[in-house]
Amino acid sequence: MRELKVSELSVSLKDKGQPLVDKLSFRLGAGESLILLGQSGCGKTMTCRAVMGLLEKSRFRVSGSASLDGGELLGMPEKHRAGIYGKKVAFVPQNPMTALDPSVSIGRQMDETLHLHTKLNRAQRQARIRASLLEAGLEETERVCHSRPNMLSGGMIQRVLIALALSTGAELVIADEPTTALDVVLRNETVDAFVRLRAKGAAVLFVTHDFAAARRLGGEVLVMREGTLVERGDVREVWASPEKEYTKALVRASALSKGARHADR
Amino acid sequence: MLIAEHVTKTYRNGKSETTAVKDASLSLIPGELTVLVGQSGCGKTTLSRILAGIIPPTSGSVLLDGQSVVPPARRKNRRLNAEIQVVLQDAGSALDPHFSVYRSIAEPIRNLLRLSKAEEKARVTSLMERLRLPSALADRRPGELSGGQLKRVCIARALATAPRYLIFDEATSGLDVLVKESILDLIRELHRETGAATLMITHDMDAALYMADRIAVMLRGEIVENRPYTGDPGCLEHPWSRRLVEQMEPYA
Repeated sequence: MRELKVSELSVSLKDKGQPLVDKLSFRLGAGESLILLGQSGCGKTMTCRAVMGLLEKSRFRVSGSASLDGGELLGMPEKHRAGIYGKKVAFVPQNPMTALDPSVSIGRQMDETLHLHTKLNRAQRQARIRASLLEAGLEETERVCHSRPNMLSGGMIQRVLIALALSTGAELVIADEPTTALDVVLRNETVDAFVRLRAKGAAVLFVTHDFAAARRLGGEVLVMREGTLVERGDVREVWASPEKEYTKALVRASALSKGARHADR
Repeated sequence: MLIAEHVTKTYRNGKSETTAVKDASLSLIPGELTVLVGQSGCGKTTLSRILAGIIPPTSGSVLLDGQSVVPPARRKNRRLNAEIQVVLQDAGSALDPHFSVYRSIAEPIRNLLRLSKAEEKARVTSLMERLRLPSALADRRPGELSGGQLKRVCIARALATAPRYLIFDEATSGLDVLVKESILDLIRELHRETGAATLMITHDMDAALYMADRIAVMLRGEIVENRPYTGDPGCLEHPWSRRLVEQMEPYA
């Protein structure tokens, strides 16, 4: 993949005029990360769903353009989409438990995915699975492979999905709030797995409401509110000196204990 | 005071045995806000359920003003049920989907207190005001509320019996950062107003340091550190507590 280019993307419900995403534009290249940041309902997940072609045509009106290496993604026929998603483009959802089959071991699910998307033989697939798990920060590869999803923690499952993206050689990884329910140690391990993914040349589109996670990942941030862009720039610079009041509130709320709470008492 | 002493909880499943809580002691003191912080699965929810008298410990004791809170004795004791209230993690499933907001808040009053209809209405109305829930929401069902509103209804419900002990299990999990901040500020405000001994359970170290008068750190079922907190994370000494602090993003 060379680039994902989104231009003037707008999404609205067909029966309501108010746009859910309003003329959003951004560019994401190989080995880069871009963060969509804002509260629930700000349009960040809707943007990802539009890019992935997951919005039902009967309910949503989508306009503008989202192109991957020049090929238009919006309105792409289902049979063409199937050749891209799961292979070139991987998705890491907020609730990873629902992304995997609860009755099948992790190793078997990863093997099935590789069998579907690559021409590797069984031994090569097994080696690739273990290498990807290690790369995603899961060291107990045998235990993970033999576990069913409910036997692993939420943070581990997130990293299994990152390993899956690594193993299929996904070039664009779209992650929707992947660190929301994780403690600070697991959050950092998960973000670091995305950093490794990026270092291997993948582009990472990362959705979050947490500036602390965004800051650790690095890259360009687009702060969104009610479907519109509030502020954009390098995430570490925006964190250090936010211009807009809304961005300042998000920065403060992402590092509450830094405030003067105890001095106020 | 609500005191758990040397509490251990072991779950047996066939031949395998898992110890969720190991020899943990924790006291909830009126006027103090204690935060119990630890990773998912470290045993903090189990310990809070034991403290609330919802499940019995395998060994150890839980006493409220010298009286045992261990079930089944606790279940039949209306006074104890009214005095210790828990706000559960998943606000959506903690409420009956068929009950209106009004009925959800009124339910513990009906079950545990003997108030007239007029007194009940006055209390529910006042609680909704305090929790900043517009009166127009009184007839709504949980499915029609946002995450922050659901959490406020759960808190109003827990406050309905004017408890002396309040336990919040992951009060802000799943909420975005601005809603999280407003809920934490609300918990702090209610704590100041009521003086109830409050226990907040969280995996969120930032929220823990923001809220705590006292901080207890849990690791693999054990409380590894328990000390008053006055705003300097440097006071935490255990290597695991230090690691949690170090993993927080630098603020500069």
